[in-house]
Amino acid sequence: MSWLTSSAAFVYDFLADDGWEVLVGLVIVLPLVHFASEIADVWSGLVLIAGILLTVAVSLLRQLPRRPTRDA
Amino acid sequence: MTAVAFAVGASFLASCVEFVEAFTIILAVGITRSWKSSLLGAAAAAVLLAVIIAGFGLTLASTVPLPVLRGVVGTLVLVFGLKWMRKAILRFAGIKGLHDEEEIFAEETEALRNYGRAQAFDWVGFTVSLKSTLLEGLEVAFIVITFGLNSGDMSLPALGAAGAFVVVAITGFAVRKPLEQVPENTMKFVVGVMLSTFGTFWAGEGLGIEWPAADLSIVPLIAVYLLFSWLAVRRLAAARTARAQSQSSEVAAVA
Repeated sequence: MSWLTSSAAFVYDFLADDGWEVLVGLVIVLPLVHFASEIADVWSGLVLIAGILLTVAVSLLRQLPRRPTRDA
Repeated sequence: MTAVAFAVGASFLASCVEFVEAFTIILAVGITRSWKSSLLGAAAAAVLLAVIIAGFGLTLASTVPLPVLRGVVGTLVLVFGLKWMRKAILRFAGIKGLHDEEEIFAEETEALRNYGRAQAFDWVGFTVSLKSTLLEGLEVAFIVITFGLNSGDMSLPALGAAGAFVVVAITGFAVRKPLEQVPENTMKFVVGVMLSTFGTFWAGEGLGIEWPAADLSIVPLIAVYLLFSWLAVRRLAAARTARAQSQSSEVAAVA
């Protein structure tokens, strides 16, 4: 059962550490790439790379310290 | 004679590419996580591979759905890689270090709690190493079978693949020590970039992408991830500094 505990701990750590943003991004990007590869093979590689980089960029920008608001 | 040299040479070169990919991940997991889990993962993959080859024989190339396997393994490796790369970028930009106290505290507490107990096995490292070695090993088997069927002699391409394994293994062993001297965050960043690159490449192949220049596409993919990371670190560090200055000037204005 130790492998089950370790797996559960890993999934928890992954999600708790904003890993869900990467997962959500990939869930959107990968089917898009599949459709793109059906239409034009040349573009599907670019769609995959652009989608992954956009996912990571959004996830990174969300980690910036928040700007102080006037009310705060 | 020319045909023999071609069968051995082509199999050697093609297998070298696959073994380098597998050894890169075995080394990366060993250095950043645990050598035990990395080597056991690779050994388990070798055993599994031997069973698969013994079971399917020459029909292996037509029975195992390699694109599906590439897609699944690639996506999983990509998820691990992006997570490591993202965390390393945040640390280089000084953001992770600022907000990491709770995580460090939790890790230290856990380490103290485990003190004296047998060290837990690293299943993440084991799984990443196993998946990657199995995938690359299957690709080497496909190479040997393809060249073997074409040349009519299975032993020549097998000899080329065995030679490639020995050369890559010796090189990997030689560079292990120097790599262990690299600072932890730099190593985790490099590993993150490598896993993201291989993950992107394999996931793309699984999704039906035919990369231009085949395996050589890995090189520009690495360049794209390195460039993106460099820009991200610069941008995030600049934004963090600007916001810190803005906060301190507002505090000064209030005082």
